[in-house]
Amino acid sequence: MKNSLVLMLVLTLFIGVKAQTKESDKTQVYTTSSGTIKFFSKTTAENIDATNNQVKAALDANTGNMEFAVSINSFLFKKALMQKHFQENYLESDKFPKSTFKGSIVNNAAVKYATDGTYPVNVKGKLTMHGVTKDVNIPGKVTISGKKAILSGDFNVLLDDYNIKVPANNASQIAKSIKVTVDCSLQKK
Amino acid sequence: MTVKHLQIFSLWAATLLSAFIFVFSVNTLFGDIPIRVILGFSALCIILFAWVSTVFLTKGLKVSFFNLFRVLGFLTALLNLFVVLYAAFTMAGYWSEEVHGIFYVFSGVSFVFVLFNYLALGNHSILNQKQVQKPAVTDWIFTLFLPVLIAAYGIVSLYNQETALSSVGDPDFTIQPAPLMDVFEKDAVSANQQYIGKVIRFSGSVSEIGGDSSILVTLNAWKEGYTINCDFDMELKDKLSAVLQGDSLLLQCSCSGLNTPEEGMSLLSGATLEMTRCALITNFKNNPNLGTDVEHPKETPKRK
Repeated sequence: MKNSLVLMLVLTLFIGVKAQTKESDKTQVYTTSSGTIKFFSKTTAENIDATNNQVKAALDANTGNMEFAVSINSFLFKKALMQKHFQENYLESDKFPKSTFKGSIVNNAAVKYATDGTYPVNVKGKLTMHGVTKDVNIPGKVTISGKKAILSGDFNVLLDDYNIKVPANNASQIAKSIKVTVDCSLQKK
Repeated sequence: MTVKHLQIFSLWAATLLSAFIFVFSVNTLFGDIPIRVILGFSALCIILFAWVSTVFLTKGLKVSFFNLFRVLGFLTALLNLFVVLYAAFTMAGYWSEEVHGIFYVFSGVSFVFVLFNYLALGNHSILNQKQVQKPAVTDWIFTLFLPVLIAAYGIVSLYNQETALSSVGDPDFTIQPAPLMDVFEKDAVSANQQYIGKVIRFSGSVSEIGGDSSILVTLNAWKEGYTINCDFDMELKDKLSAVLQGDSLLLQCSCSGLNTPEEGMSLLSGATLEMTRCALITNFKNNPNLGTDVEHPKETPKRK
């Protein structure tokens, strides 16, 4: 009788702990709506850079799945005319107002979300821009600091891959390959 | 500077301005035309005018050149008159298509130059000169260098014009975030056309202040799953130093639209109304005349 009671108590505790663990697993999603994405174009004629500080991003720590949504109109340039050309002519933000990324961390098991530190990761997924979706492979880092997960990395985007046409008279000022830098600080939900 | 110099200068200015207007018009109206064709035609116009003006300088105008000159001048004047009328009608709201502001200015100036050219032609005795003249150095300066320098300066200034740090001046619309988000949700395409890039005046209470390379003030949307992001340039840091969580602000920003998750996205939820180049108009907390009652602006579109 005594043994049965102890066994029941142990089982109840075990189920309780298991349920709690599952509950905490569900809340392993990090999000932000104020991430930063920059891009940089370098040519002999001119260097162009733009920043978007309103990137929406989410990361599921359990699966390594991540999603990004970026408004093209929130990219800010130093030069007014360049911003207008970028939004209206090159990326045609009236037709394609958003750019998205959906993918996952290939080596998610290597990231210890419970332990502060910086972990190199490899992210694979689909980048949609200007109405064109392409598979991309992005090397980056996940930095865990308390309840924050900071995602950082950079990769190059070929304008031709996304059907982005630059008029011949501006071609010398805009590189065919644009460097995109991601820096998003996500907060655990 | 003589009347002849003014005449040559105006001829050049009208040529360059007309070429600019032509490129701009064709590009605006028929964006599919290859840029090489437009530039080629513009270059041809400039070369033709340069040739006529050079002959005008060195040999005086013979009857044939004079006629050619008049025909070209007349066509330029007609083109610019059309452009000015088109712009005026557009500004008055009769036509919905928008024309770039500089378009009006250049067209008007170009038209004045052409008119001046006509007046000068009618009165100046150079038209009656029969013998060949050797142009003076100043003639060449006025013919070639000065107008080209002025045009180059204008183009470079226009290209390098920096984006404003914040949305100052009169707003295009005064509308609160909640109805604005409703408009975007009902018909994103028409809302994008109406509000994107436009200056919006609105108010809200601060829920969060953050940002690294810029200052990002998040306002309460009072709607589950929605946020309002207002991006301020870092140079406005001092003006925002007194803003605290819970403050009610009257802001003016450029609208970048409503960022909602795409279909098939399961992790991202909710929607964010994104505002950029924000300017703080009033922090009600710091305005003793307004007390604790926040006077929110009413929804009043300023112009069509």
